[in-house]
Amino acid sequence: MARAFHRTRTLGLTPGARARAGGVEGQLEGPERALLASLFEQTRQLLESAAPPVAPERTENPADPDDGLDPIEAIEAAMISDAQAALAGLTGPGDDPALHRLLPDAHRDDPFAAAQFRQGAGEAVRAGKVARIDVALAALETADDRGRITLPAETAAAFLVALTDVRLVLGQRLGLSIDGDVEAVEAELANAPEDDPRLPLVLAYDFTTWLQESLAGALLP
Amino acid sequence: MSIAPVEQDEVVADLTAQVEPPWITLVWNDPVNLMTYVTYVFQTYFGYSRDKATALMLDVHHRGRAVVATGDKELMEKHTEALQGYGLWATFQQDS
Repeated sequence: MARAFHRTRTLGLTPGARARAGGVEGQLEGPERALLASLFEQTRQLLESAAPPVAPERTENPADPDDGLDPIEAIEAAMISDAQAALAGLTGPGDDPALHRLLPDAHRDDPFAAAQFRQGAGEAVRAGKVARIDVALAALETADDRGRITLPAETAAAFLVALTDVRLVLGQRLGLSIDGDVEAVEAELANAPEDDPRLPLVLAYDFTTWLQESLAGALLP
Repeated sequence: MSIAPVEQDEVVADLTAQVEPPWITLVWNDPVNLMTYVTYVFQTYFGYSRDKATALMLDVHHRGRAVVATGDKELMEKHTEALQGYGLWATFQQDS
């Protein structure tokens, strides 16, 4: 686990409204909201790329005699579709290592059990992450003209968890795999040229880390 | 010479042979999740006190992983699903 960055800037979500039914309120400037929206959108796209394939032959009316599919063919199509789904579960959510961190194997030593999990509970995990990102994106839209946002407890919790998923993706893109890697990357980038592609990543990572620390601290029961 | 009664040893051995090892849910350390956040998850999801959640979080942090729940397979799958939803690196397996 990482330790939070300590900053003296007063921006972001603060526990000011904690007394009001566990909600939080705070302030995010326009560019900060735009950055967060972009990060949420990209994480959402990544998760959508791992959505299970839709089987169109099952959504058509099976009683329609003109669809050209006799019952045996329909059963075969269903079996192929099931086999494809099983193989998709076995190979994991795709080639992107960030997706593997968002949707990790639920069994370390048993790839078949991990594949089974992916098709059931794992798909619920994925869909839940997409739904929380949608809540977070909608929450950003509620900012008033001074950037103030007030979030009810449930929305704040969804925002917090969605922010975790964004940070997991950023952390993977920065190559963070063990404790201390963040500090190593930051030290390395302190002397890096301005066009180093990791600079915007590490800035986004720092900002979301700071925001999440303040939000998690405010929401601790 | 042993003072343990021989018959009792046999009874204990028979009992343990019949009990299936329980299933466990593990949370693995990762460099991204914040200590405050992991504590928040353990408090919110398991309903643990701040102290208990913090101790469990530190266990994950220092040992690289910790068993966060023990029980039947279905429940451990449910915990794993929920904790992965929170972004924690959770797995479940039969205890060995």
